[in-house]
Amino acid sequence: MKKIIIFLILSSLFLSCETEITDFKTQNLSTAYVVFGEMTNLNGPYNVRINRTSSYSPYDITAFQGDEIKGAVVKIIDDTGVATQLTETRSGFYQTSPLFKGIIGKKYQLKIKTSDGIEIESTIETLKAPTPLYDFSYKFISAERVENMRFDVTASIKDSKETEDYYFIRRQDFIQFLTTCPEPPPPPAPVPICYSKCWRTPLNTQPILINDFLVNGKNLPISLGSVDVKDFPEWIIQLDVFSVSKETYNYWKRQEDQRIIGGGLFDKIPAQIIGNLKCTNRTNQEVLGLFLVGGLAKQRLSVDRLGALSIENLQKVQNYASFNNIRYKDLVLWDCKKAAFINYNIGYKIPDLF
Amino acid sequence: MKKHLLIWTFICLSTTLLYNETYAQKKSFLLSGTVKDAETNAPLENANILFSGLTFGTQTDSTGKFSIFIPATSYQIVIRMLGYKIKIERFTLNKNTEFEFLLDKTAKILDEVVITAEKADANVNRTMMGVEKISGKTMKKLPTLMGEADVIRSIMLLPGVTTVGEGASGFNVRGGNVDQNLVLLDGIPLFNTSHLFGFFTGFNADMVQDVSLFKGGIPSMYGGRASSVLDVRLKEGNFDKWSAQGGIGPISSRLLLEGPIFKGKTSVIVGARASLSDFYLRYFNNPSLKNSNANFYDINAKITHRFGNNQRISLAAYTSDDAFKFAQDTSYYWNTHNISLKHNALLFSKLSHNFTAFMSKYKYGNKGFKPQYEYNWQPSITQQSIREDLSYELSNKSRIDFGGDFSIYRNDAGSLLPNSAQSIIDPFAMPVQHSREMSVYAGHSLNLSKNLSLDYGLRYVFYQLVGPDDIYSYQLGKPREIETITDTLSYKKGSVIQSYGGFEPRFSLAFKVDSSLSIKIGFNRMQQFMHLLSNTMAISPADIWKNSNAQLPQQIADQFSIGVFKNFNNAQNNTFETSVEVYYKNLKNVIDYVDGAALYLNQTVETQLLVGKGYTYGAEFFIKKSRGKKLTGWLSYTYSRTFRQIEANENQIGANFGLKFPANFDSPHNIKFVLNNRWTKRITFNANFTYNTGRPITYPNGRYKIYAFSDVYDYMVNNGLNPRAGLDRKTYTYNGQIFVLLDNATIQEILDGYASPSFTLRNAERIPDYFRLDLGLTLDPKENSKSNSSWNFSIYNILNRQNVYSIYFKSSTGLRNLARTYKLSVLGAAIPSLTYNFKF
Repeated sequence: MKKIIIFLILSSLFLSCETEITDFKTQNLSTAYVVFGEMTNLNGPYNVRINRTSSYSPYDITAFQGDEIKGAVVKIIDDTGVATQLTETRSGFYQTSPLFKGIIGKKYQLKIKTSDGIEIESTIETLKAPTPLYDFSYKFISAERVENMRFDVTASIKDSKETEDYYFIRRQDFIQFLTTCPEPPPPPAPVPICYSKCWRTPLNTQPILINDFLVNGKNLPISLGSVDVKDFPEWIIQLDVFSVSKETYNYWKRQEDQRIIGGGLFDKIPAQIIGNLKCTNRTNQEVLGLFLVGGLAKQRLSVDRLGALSIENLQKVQNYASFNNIRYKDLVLWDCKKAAFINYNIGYKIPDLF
Repeated sequence: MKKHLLIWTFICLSTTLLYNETYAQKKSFLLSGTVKDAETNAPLENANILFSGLTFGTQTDSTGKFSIFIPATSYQIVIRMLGYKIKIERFTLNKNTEFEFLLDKTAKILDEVVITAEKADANVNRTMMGVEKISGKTMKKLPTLMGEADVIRSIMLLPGVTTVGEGASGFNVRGGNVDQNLVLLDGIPLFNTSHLFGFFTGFNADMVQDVSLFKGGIPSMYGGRASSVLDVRLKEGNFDKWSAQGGIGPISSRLLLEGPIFKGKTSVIVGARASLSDFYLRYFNNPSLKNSNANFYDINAKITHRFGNNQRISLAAYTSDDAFKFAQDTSYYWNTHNISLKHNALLFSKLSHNFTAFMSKYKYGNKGFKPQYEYNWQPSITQQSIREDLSYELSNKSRIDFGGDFSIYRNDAGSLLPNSAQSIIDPFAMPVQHSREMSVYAGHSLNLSKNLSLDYGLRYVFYQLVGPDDIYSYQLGKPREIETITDTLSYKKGSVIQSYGGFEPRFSLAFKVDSSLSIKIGFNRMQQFMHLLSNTMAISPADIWKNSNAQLPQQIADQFSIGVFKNFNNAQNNTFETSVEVYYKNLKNVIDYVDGAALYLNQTVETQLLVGKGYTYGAEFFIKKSRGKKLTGWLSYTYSRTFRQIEANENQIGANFGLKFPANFDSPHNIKFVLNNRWTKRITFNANFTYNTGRPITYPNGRYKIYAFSDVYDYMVNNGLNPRAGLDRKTYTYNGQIFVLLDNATIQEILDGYASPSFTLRNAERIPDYFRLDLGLTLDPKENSKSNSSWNFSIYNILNRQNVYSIYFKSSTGLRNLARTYKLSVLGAAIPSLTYNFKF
């Protein structure tokens, strides 16, 4: 009884009530253009996507992507005036040549002219020197139960003391998975080749944002969490560390702050987030998005899950994988590349790092 | 303009002095005295003193004192006070005379229920308008949240007072921001009035003598904030006997002790309150709650010494502390400590003075516990002030109040320091701002005729921001940004960096049509030099205060108001007070923020601030049954609108495209109903009902995706992997059994980006309307019972309504970036509470 009373009191005080509104829908009343492009010091090709905004309809998958803007003239211009024009390879998708890359210390600007005469420009951005990772490693943490076994992954950046630095980091995991091959046909039929090792690349759109405010010149740890041991094929983590301008960092910081907003008493009031792009010939034309210019350092860490396991732990993991159908025993197939039931199944190999 | 105001004031004061000379030619003497409870010797406030042959009388103040000039003759004097036996004395007045009257209680339970701190018809007779008073006793009769009688929750039941949402700290008065309220605790300004983030007020209701809220018609003695004054007066200790009272409630418990140190001369009163919430949290299995803490306490203490009947000195201290940690890596804390010395005396027969000196320190901040990033950030504001208020009774129809104050502020924006040996955080110093504020004022209250009374006054405030400090200069003609900083100027200690000043005229005129009807007009100007920077939905305990500087001039509010006040008395002598007040307030230099402003640990915070204008207008309709045998209460309806407009100029960008927009707390329709019904001599039933239009909110007008995470998608497209033929899982059921098989399918991943809602106009929509009904029952002790304990049972939000505090928009990151919509109710349930109060 005492616990019930205490629960009632505190639940009313501390556990506020959050309810999802499933029928909230607004028409797309915005006429804004959405532009995203990036360029770094590494070889291209680099893409610029131009779209419209879409309606605020959370469950309508067809409305995920705003209409593409076709037929625009898109150029990247450096501080010497050299312009590189991008080619529209798909609808609303503009691309440089694979050999195009930025030079550290130079300034770049994106200029767009749409077919209906809208002119969009980014601010002039300096390509900063990339900052390689100082440390990128993992450590196996053993446990009695397989669910609690893990590899703690750590990484850090050695920040420069001389400069004010801002980092935008993308993480992409490449996870090898195993499928189950069918029983071979009875002899004398030849045994077909079975491909049971493929890679999946779960899409991660969560940026990691780090700056050196208050920790200038220190080793800046990157929070990467852990990798599970529910099965033991390879697991590769790729980090793309962009050294970016303060404005680019703040743009993403505001996006993140607004994305995780709780609507609570102390949350900031949401507002439009304007990046480094604007329309130069129509003052009321809003342009959303960003032209990201940054020095990029890419690095991969391969977590050898099999090699870290003792015989005893390996047996536990095998039993766990079997019991929990991690290898899709009920969906046997000869070619794991065809497994459509696995999201972002990219087949037998992963993209090259460079 | 300033010169004209000075001349105008001089003429008015001169006229008044001449006018009073004429009065003085009649032979009058000062009759003064004190009215006390015969049993406890406690001074009695609001006792009526009436004289035979005179059409006017007087009333005791909060210290039980009265003084009046009346012609020399023989009188029968009648002293009346609700709950006490009438006292009648005869005397002849032929010199200045002083009396002490002791009144005997009639019974333990009052015969009449009164829910006002003022005498009958005060609303009609008083020259000022926009003034609301609640006694500590009325406050305790209202239904409570978690059993806590609460000052600010009580004043929110008054017309013209709103809040941005349930649980939000502070309150908004007639379209003013939360920081535009001057909250005085026994004359000492508070910078934070909340416990538990705003669920409760930061001072103990048992200590409260009475509460006055000045929404308009603000007397010239008050200044420093732009919108309103909440003057909370605390009790003095009993001079004759010791007593204790307290209460045990679900959230906190409190105890108050008072009594004489030297009987009849020196008294002490100490009130303390502490939360029990940490105790409850330990019972939760949820580790987040179990490892959380949320606690507060506050202590008031006051020692008063009397030197004879006309002089007293008091030393008071107040401390309040809050700490909150919700099992995460950050804890918040805020505390206030102040100490004050007061001396008040009747210097001459007509001149009284009140001297106050105080020091107040408000500290706030947070601590981080994330491994390797442990820190402590602790800003603070220290205020040291001296103040002298004088009051000169020119006649029984005319009084001058004058005085001045001088304050020194030290506003430390909070250096951030590492808080463990392992912390990799560098110390980060934020500037400390020093400022001083001086003001002088004079106000005159007089009855021009039987029907016409006037209160007018003038206050002059002078503000200086002084060194030592390093100040950034910004390029003129360009919006302020770090890139437009042109210079850093270093100022030595005491050198003046920036000065502002200005006159604040105050004026109220009342025309009394008859004894029950009056029409009033008023004007007041207020200035504010300290500003709370907050761009969150409600103000947070970590929000910083900023002094006026070159980029941030003083906020100025000019309020015009007009009101009609009419009282009705029925055959049972029940009083119905009615009023209609209409106001318009113009706000200059209101503070706003660039979208997504970064206000913390920002040495160039002025780059995040915008200065604009605002205006608010409204009409308050009020009917109150303030006295009655059984039933009292009030009903109010307020229509009000509040707008802000932040235009771009050569030194700043605009907000909302320069278009006006409703303030966050704009709520056009407000209905408040308070009922107090005494069922029996022991049982009283209370109810509150509140309705208001939902507050403004910014909704998305679309959404967009940023394709910054498309490398794998592009790889798949470029390598012919998207689209491609594949096999997908298919299930079918046969004879109740589910079968799984593979079927031909196309593998085609959707390009998904980082989802973000698109917003345009600020506060163009509204959350759903708010309404809430609270009920309460109070069980008083039996008549003639030796114990003096009572029980209060309340249900807050008995309709169990989930009033929406906000609607917000969240996106996930990952495979499918859904954009979802949620609504949040801060107190989304009916909350019962039972409180035991005792007194012995």
